[in-house]
Amino acid sequence: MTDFYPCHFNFLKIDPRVVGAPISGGTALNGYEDRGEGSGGGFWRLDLSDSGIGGRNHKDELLAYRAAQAGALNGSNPETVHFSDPLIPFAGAAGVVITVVNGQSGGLNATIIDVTPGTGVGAALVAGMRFTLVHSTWGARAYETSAIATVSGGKRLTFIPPIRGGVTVGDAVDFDDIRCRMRRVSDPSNLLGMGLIGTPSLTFQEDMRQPS
Amino acid sequence: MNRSVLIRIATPTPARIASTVNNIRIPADDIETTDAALYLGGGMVIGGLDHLEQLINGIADRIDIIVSGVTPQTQALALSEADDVKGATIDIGVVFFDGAFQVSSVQWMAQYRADKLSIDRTPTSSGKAPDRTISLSMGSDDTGRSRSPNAYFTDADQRRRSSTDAFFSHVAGINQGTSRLFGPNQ
Repeated sequence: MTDFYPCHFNFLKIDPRVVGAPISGGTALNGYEDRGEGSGGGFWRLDLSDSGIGGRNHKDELLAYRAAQAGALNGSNPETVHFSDPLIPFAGAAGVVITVVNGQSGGLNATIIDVTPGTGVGAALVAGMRFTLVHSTWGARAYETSAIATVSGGKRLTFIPPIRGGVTVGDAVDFDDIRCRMRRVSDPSNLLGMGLIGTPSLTFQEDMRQPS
Repeated sequence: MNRSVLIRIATPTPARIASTVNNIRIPADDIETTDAALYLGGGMVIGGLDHLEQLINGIADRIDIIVSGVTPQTQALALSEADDVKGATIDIGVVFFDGAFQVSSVQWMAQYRADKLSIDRTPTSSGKAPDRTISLSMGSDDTGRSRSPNAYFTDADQRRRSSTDAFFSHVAGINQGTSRLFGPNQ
């Protein structure tokens, strides 16, 4: 599994988000529209745009970008993409799962877990922060909290999307390096201005192929 | 209401697909006899389930379901397993989720019979990757490719049975849209 760090390529716009399949029930006579979700909890999508790489003194950036695109094999190779999210000011704050509150057998599809935050925490846990769990077969997956509450012994995290694979007590919760196994779904184009400056854009989508 | 579609194909080893992104486990009931059966997500169902007709008085219905996210290996598997799926019972249901995306209930909506499995590779515009899909055609139990055409009973048929019976004597003059008065000639 290769790793991809968007921060190496100076993307001005980084947009990781959980998307899904919203279903509308239509607009009623009174103007009210009912909305639902049809994908069972959503999945990650990451848009990166307005990069600025290359130039006379930074040809290594162009070469690194070219190598990363070659390694992706047009999206057929999954990659662990590190979100490089500037809203995550944590340092050394790996937590530990103490309770899996909901979900199915083995923690599959859980959306609420209790964790003890790690020691040496750089900032308080605030809803909206993301974390990463590394699953045995599904690899590193990112999750986004919608609520964080204080419970006995730690914090209760409510998040989307539902847990891939499973989660058990004792698993490490990484608030520091948010990463997710994804596949590139955009074109690997990198038009070079003056033969030296590239401004590529990329789109990634969470890799949901069944692990073998 | 959050919901997704379930498809259960009762082959010797049942195939279970959900339109969710993630895999989900479904509790046992009358249709799904295995408790906590794993329904595969990911390869999203992309079409064919826009409408299901409730069959009343034996009106036939036929739908195709289309699955995307198909690798060449899966396609090869689909081709080799195509014979097993023919005639298998297919149940289509809806799973409802609560606000935390946990399974709250399952409702089975329709039952079909598998007919034909086909794979498709649709070329898109130049430079784009072609769409690769698997389609499964299915029908209600009232459909069949060998069904006989409608029969028409003519005056000659009736005269053969009873040579003096003129009950069907006007049938030849009746076309679609013709209305005739009922009763003796006026």
